[in-house]
Amino acid sequence: MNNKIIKIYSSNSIYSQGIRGIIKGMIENVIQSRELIWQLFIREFIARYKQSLLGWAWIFLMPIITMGTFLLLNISGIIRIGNIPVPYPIFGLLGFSLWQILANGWLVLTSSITGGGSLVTQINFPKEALIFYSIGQVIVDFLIRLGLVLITYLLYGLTPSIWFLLLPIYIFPIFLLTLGLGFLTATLNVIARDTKNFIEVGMSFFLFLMPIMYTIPEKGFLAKFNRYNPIYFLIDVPRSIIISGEVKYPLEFILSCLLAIIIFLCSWFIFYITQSKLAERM
Amino acid sequence: MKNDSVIEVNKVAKKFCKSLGKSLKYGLVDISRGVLGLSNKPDKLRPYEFWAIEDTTFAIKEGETLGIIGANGSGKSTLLKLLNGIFLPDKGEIKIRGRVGALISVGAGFHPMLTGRENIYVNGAILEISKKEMDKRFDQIVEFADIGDFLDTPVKNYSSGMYVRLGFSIAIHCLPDILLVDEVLSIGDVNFQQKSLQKMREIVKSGRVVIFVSHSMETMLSFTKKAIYLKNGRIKGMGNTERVIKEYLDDLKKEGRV
Repeated sequence: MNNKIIKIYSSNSIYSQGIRGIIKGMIENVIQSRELIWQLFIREFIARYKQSLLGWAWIFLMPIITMGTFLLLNISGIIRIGNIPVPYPIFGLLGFSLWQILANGWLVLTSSITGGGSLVTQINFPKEALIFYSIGQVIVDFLIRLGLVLITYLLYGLTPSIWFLLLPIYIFPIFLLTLGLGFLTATLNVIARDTKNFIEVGMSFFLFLMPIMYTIPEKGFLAKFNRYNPIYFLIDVPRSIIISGEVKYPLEFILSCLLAIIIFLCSWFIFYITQSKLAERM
Repeated sequence: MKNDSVIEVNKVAKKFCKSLGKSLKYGLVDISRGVLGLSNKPDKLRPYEFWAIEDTTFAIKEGETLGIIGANGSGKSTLLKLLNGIFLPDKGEIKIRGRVGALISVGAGFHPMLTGRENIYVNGAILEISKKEMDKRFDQIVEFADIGDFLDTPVKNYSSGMYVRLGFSIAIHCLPDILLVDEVLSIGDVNFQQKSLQKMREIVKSGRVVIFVSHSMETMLSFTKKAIYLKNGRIKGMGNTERVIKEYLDDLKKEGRV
């Protein structure tokens, strides 16, 4: 009995571990809870599959409705889709699928802790598990939409570039950014439940500001704004690699990737040290 | 930490906030200060805050069982959550040797759409038991829960009795070194209650540290030799269970509540 680990709980037990101890704890938490992350992911996957037919259909319906909206805006002259290298359904669907990793992923992660309910308030376990299993759901959604992109390619008798095969590498940064933002807002959402609403409204607004469903204009506010918008590079560069194999803005893309990594690491750190305060705020 | 101690609670206090609006503000302030590594002055009360647990000190040795009694709102569940590490103390320190598990709410983490079988494995993972280990315990869990043909039915279609029976069965087949039991021995029908009491007796005999929270003085007397009486978040009495229960009942009589 005496060789068992002694745990100490106090108001500053986390800080007394020091930076090195905290980083070690962060990694250990994820390694220890990998079985839990997997089981929670499977739980959600099966439950969603059982729950409704429309649940899965939404994954297809949403991009189609969004593309329809932008096509209408294009016809009416409000937005110029611009010159695109492939038919619009491929361009739009691919952009939307990449965009949804962030837009929908961020929302899913934001409500992952509050959605944990009695699990969070009654059981002591690493709360990161809730964040990491939720990103699994986002990956599944993305893969389904990617399948739809490939079907569209087939329908047009076209093929994506050979660099498509390296997709996991260059879409990784957008997942890291989503995780980073999710860590922060999941914590915030426990304290103020309308955090999720802010993100929802903000994201639908940003979709219009960013050249996701149209090409970047050469002049004007949108052109300027997006020259400094890391999210745009994290989405548009992977899209152009898939479509033509060309890396359009290499420097901007690398800087955006670095930013995503920094945001991810800092947010994970913040989440780790604040997670002990979450259960009492639920 | 003393060699024969399993739990040491040293001058522990925990505060909560009565006002939802203030709680939101304090939450933001505390978390921001925490991130910056600044102290939150946890030992001071701000407006609308109160001590849910205050100045609580006790220790539990190997093989001991402890009962916690007290009126509603006296801080029993908060104390259990502190021992489980779900809440961190604002003052003082808790030292624990070994893995703590809780029977605070059975069936926490059940997904209504999943079948009993699927939920058993998910719950196992939540309680830190690997799938391989769960495979070994699976038959015992199902047998004890006595859910028969409903094993492959989504738990949302279970009767409330079946639901808690399954939750309880999983929990007692995934036993930790230190078990916290919060009012769960009165679940299910008479038959199941007998079965769970029997099982609990075996667990206590096996020399595990078990902490009971219950309003049933009968449960307390049959399972524990030592008890704590909490009143308004403070320890009012501690020691021999029979004596502590008497003190508690006397208090209730004085206040005209029985």
